[in-house]
Amino acid sequence: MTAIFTTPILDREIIEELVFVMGDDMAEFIGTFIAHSADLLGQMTRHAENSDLNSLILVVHSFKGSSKNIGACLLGDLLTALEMTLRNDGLANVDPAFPRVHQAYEDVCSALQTYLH
Amino acid sequence: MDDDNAVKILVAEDNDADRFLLTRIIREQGYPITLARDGVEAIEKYQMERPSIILMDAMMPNMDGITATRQIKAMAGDAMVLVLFLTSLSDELSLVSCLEAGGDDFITKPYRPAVLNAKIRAFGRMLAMNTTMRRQRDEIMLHNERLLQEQQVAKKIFDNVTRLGCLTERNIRYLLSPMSVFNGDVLLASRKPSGGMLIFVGDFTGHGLPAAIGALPIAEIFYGMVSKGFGIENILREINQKLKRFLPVGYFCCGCMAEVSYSKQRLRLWNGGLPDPMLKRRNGEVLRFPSRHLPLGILSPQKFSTECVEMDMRPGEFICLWSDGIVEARDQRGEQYGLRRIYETLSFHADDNNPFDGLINSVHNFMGNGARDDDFTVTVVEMLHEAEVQSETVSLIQASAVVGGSDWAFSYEMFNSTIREFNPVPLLLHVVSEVPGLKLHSQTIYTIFAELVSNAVDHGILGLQSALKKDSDGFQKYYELRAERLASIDGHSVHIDVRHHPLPTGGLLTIKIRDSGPGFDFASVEVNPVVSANPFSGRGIHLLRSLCEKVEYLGMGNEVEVRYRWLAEQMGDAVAPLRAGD
Repeated sequence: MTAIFTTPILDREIIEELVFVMGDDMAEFIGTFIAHSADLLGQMTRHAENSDLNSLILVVHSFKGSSKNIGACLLGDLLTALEMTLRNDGLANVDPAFPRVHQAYEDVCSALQTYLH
Repeated sequence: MDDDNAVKILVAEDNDADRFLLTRIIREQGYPITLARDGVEAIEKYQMERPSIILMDAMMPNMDGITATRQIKAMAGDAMVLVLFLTSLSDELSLVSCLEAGGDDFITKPYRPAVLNAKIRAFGRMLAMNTTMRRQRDEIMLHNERLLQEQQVAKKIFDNVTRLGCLTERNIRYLLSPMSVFNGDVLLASRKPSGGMLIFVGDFTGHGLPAAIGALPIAEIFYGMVSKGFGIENILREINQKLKRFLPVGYFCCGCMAEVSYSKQRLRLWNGGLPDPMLKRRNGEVLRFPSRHLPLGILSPQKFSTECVEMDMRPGEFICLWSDGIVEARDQRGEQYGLRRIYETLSFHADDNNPFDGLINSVHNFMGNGARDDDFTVTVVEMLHEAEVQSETVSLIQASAVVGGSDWAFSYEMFNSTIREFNPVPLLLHVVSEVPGLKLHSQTIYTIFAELVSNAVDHGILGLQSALKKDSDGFQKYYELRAERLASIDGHSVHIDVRHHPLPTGGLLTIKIRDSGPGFDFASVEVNPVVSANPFSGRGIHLLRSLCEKVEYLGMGNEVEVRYRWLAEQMGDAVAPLRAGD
């Protein structure tokens, strides 16, 4: 897991290409990502409390995809690792991962503020 | 997809941010975009909007993209729908299932906008190509349908023309492949006004409409000329000349024409390029007639030869004609049936019946199971006794739409070289046959004209004695003398007057013929009609008397007048010639 600590919060190359492609829609895109990701985090907690493994995997998978697409490398890597843990070990070893995901999400939100204007 | 403008894109993605991102990236393609949040919704949207490009997330709640794709591809049927799977690299195993479900391509996250747009443009090109191919396929199908329809009409026309013949007569058996006219095969048969039968088998170069078009004038010429009494040479000459003029270089018609004469019990045959016709004798012998001429439509009239093979043919003997289809029929190893097998089959055919069925069965057995395409033309014609044929009634060719006059007279006079080279009977018969209703009597009238002209020339001018023709040597001698004397005639003429007078129930045909010969003592014939004792017996007086109401010799015996009274019949009914004393 050492790689995680060297992985940047945002991949500058990806985010700048998105700014170029999205133009004026960039702020709306970032807003959509932040809001939808918050919703997904809520779903993750709920499915974990209910021990609904399959639904939890689907949400983590989806969250992982959108994180990679916006260039949120650290968040994407954490979710990739979590998805693998869930698929291999079920719900047994997930507790330490959740706070890290939350923290990474907060960091991404802060980093994206730069691109809101 | 009906046309290029109808391309729509469906984006099926459960993640709001990803859906937003995708729609913005592909917006530049200019296609209308529809959205779905899971597999179930994707199927619903597909049914409503019929998009031709789908961006499908592999993993979605409710129904995954793989299941949805499988169902959509099944629903699409003939319509083209291209699916681009949206996946993560971690899904390597499921990539295989994506493609197996009918996915056309995939793209992994994070999406590179340039790559995504390039993939969609590639899809657009595939759709355009597909549209073009489908349009062309539809056009080809339409053309093909039209072509088949045209061929059916052409076949109908051709059948109508060829059906004028006498292929249904009991002494003819034949096989003609159903679309033979488009294989270039022609089979024609017609009764001659003088009683015999002419049969023609032709095989055109090429296939399809050109062959069918070429066959039409042949049928027209054949039936038209046979019904007017023209012989095999004139008909061949006319067909060759017409085809030479009409057909492009490289197109021609291999053909064989056979004349079966019931009265003379003889066969005459001309073969230009067809596989050897064969004559099956009663004693089991089989004679082959290899082609001795070039096909029709190649040589100029000056170089074209109508020389026929001629020989005796008895009742119970069969002349067999075919195009190359039967010779080239193949067994399952690809070996051809060949002329040798035909020859052997005919030779081994033991009974007196028509060998046609035996031959066809033999070819079918040779070709083996399932080979029943019968793409060949075969006809077998039996010689009949003259008496058998005369007792049958014949309805000759239908009347022309143009109705001739019935109250007229004409004179025709021929001199030296014309007497030598020209047979005036078809010409005279042609004029007479224009009288409405009289065409059905043309067989009788042909005989009357033929007897009168031959009496005037052979006996009147050339001074030949029929008594010579008592045996086959005599026949030979007779024809040698005839040729010799005919070659040297000078200062001679034959004058023919023909008068037709209409009557309420038919008409009266009067023919007067005068030759420049010395005449004969007709009074002695009138008194003593004992055939064998009379040197003038061959003048056919008895035959003429049996056909005509009145036969009267005039002058010094070099002039004769006959009267033929005829009754009109319903067209198409069976007609027997009206005889004196009926």
